[in-house]
Amino acid sequence: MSLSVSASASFQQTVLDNGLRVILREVRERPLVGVWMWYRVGGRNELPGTTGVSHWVEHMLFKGGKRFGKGEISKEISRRGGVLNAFTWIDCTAYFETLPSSEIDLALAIESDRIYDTRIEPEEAEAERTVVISEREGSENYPEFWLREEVQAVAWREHPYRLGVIGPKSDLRAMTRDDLYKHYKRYYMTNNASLVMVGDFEIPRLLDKIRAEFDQHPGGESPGALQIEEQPQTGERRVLVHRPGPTHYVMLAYHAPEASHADSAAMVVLSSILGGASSPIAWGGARGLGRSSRLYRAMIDGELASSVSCSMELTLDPYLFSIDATLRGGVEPARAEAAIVAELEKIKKEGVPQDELARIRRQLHAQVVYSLEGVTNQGFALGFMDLVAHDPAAWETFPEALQSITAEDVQRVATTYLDERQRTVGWFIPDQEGS
Amino acid sequence: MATTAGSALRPERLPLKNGLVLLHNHVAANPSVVVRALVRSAASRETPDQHAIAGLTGRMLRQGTENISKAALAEELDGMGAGLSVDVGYSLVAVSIKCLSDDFARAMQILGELLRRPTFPADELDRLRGQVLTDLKEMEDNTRVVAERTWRELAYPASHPYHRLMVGNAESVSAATRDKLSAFHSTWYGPNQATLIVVGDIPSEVALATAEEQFGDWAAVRPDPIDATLPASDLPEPTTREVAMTGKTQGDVIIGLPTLERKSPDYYALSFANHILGRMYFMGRFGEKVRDEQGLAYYAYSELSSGYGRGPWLIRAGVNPRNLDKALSSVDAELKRFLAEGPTEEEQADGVSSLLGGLPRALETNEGAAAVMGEIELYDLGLDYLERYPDIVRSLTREQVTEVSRRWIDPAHLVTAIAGPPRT
Repeated sequence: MSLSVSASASFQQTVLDNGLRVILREVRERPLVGVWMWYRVGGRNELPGTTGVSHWVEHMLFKGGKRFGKGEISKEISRRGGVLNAFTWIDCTAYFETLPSSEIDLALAIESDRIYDTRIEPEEAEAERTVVISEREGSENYPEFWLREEVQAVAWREHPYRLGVIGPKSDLRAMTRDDLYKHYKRYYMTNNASLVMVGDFEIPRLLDKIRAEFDQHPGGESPGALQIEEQPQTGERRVLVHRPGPTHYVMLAYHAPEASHADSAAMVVLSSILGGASSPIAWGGARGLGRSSRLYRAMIDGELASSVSCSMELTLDPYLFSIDATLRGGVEPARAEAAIVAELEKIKKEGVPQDELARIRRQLHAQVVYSLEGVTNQGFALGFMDLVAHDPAAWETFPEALQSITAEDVQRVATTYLDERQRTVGWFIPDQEGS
Repeated sequence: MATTAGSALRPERLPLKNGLVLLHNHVAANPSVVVRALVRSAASRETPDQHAIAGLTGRMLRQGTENISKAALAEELDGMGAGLSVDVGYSLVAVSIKCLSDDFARAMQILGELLRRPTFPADELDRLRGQVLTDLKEMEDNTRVVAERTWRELAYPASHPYHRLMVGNAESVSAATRDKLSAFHSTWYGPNQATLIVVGDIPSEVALATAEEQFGDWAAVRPDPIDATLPASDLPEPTTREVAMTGKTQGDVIIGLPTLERKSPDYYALSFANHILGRMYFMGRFGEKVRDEQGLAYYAYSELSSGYGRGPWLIRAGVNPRNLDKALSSVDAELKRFLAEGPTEEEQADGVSSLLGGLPRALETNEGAAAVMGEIELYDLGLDYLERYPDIVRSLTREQVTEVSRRWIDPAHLVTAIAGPPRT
């Protein structure tokens, strides 16, 4: 039945005849199971005119198909003590259910129904249009949203990453039910998906159940690889956003390598040195880390900002290494920007002392441990690393790679990627003080 | 399922001689530990001239102590990979450290330093003040925060701690001094006002010995019960207030009223009603009606915040101004229908199964377990609470849920606050 099976100590991977990747991990401590279905479609697969279509389709996949009518998916999961949700991102759309392990069959039935049989009724699509617009409007209430959207829009010339995920209102108003359905039919198929389950089950028995649900679905025509390749940026780009708001915000974004690139681990370490560590492979982790980081000291202790963060996301294609700061009242953006750049230059020039690097390694190790608490988070890590690094084993090998990054690696990637010509800088300038 | 869930958490209650209670639960699923102190030293302890002092005192705990400076603390915690958070609420300050199990002893020592020996350095207070003033400006620009501030001002009398946001305002934050913080700390931070929680891969005897070592000689403070500062007050008049904000596209709406405290015998029935109205399935009846059926909002749900004092029951929704009237009347109709008819038989059965089936999930992480353990201790629920919980929920009847809802959610006292773009 299966074309290939690979096993490691921590999970088992199977590919069904129809191309569905199945990644399973037994965790028997609690009577729970975390179920994730990952589709390799998101903002990066969209074009102007229908930007936001992946996210809107995600909403429609809660509205019922052949076996589950409108509202029934949430109802069935909820009444059994489970939770469910989904998210859409630039690289993927993912659905999850966490529920008592006695209810595994229900989760499999839901995901099997979703993959080919979602109806997308015209009146339901129409009702959801205002929900999606409302979701965007909720984000529009925050100055940081406007700044990030603007910076992303100019950081790339070609790559769809510039369009984000939620989509502009004009597209959200213009898109039709048929646009949604076409997109659904093009990208939702077994050979463009991974089913990841972690929890209280026996793998052989579960595999039989999975086959019973999914073997009936034939694979489809592969959507193919993205043809768009971004040309290197040749000079700094700057954007200003003038809007009502409480204070100034500054964002610096540098082009950064993709997750599968040899430099991505060093970039994660660099980001942790600057802004404190978070788990690169899963959500969650401890709050309140990173107060000894370089940007915290320069910007918060230096009384320039009330918050500062640095992020290096793991993505399919080269994305952004970004720094965001919320400036204190009376601090000019130019001054804050100069202080941030000075910290970057210092690493490029002087490198990082061993004791600081040791602290960062420990932080990253701890954050990864914390982020893997629970079956839902472990399922996320396996599925996410399978998606962006093309290998679920990266849920272990990537954190290991972080531990072997040297001071020289950090200095080298800082010099390579934190280049002024590869940078987009955005300033949010409040029209008035408060509103 | 519920029995299994109950057995997943078997906290031990280990009181120290000075009044500090240690709650411990041994979990070996993840090599990490959560160490948390809950101290009844939050905003409701403030006198009228102490507004913002509780919040600043809490936030200053980590800015320097007798034995460790702010910078050294930051460096050490980062070197351990330990996250330290201080959350100041109305009744409780939660000081939590999440660390790897190997660092447990040092984490407890640090927690002892923070709670017992903060020095409130004046220069650090000035620095924090600047940061908080920027935070306050951001909050005044945040539709959700403005809606909540407005709602509280209308729903609780000015003398009540729940009348205001606990963070304070520019005036009170600017007026705070080192001496005021230090005095507040001396008055309220003590073993008899605190509960210590340890959840993770740490044996009970180690937890107790470490707690004795770090807190055994912590001197007691004033014993006043927290309930005394949270008096019952008259229910508000029905009011609606809209706050117009520039540059916003969505309005945030809060509708609700003060209800009951956690120890009220009606708590479980009202909480069950809230589950059906604003949580179960996809955010309850409100979510189903306003979002799923009518497409009027991205979010619509309700919450019951019962702790000490009469906490609020609130409906929250994010709505475009042009849909506001429709959304409000839809919420109103749904609430009135529930109060008239109560839950359906299906809802009642699903409510029970969803709450009980969800227990293992709620207890899956150390932080989830710590939250339940805190509730057990603070509200005297008893260590067998999770064993009793299934029967408590199963014994609720539709009639009881309906009757209790009618008693506590009187539409004649609902207060509505809306913050968002001006309506044209």
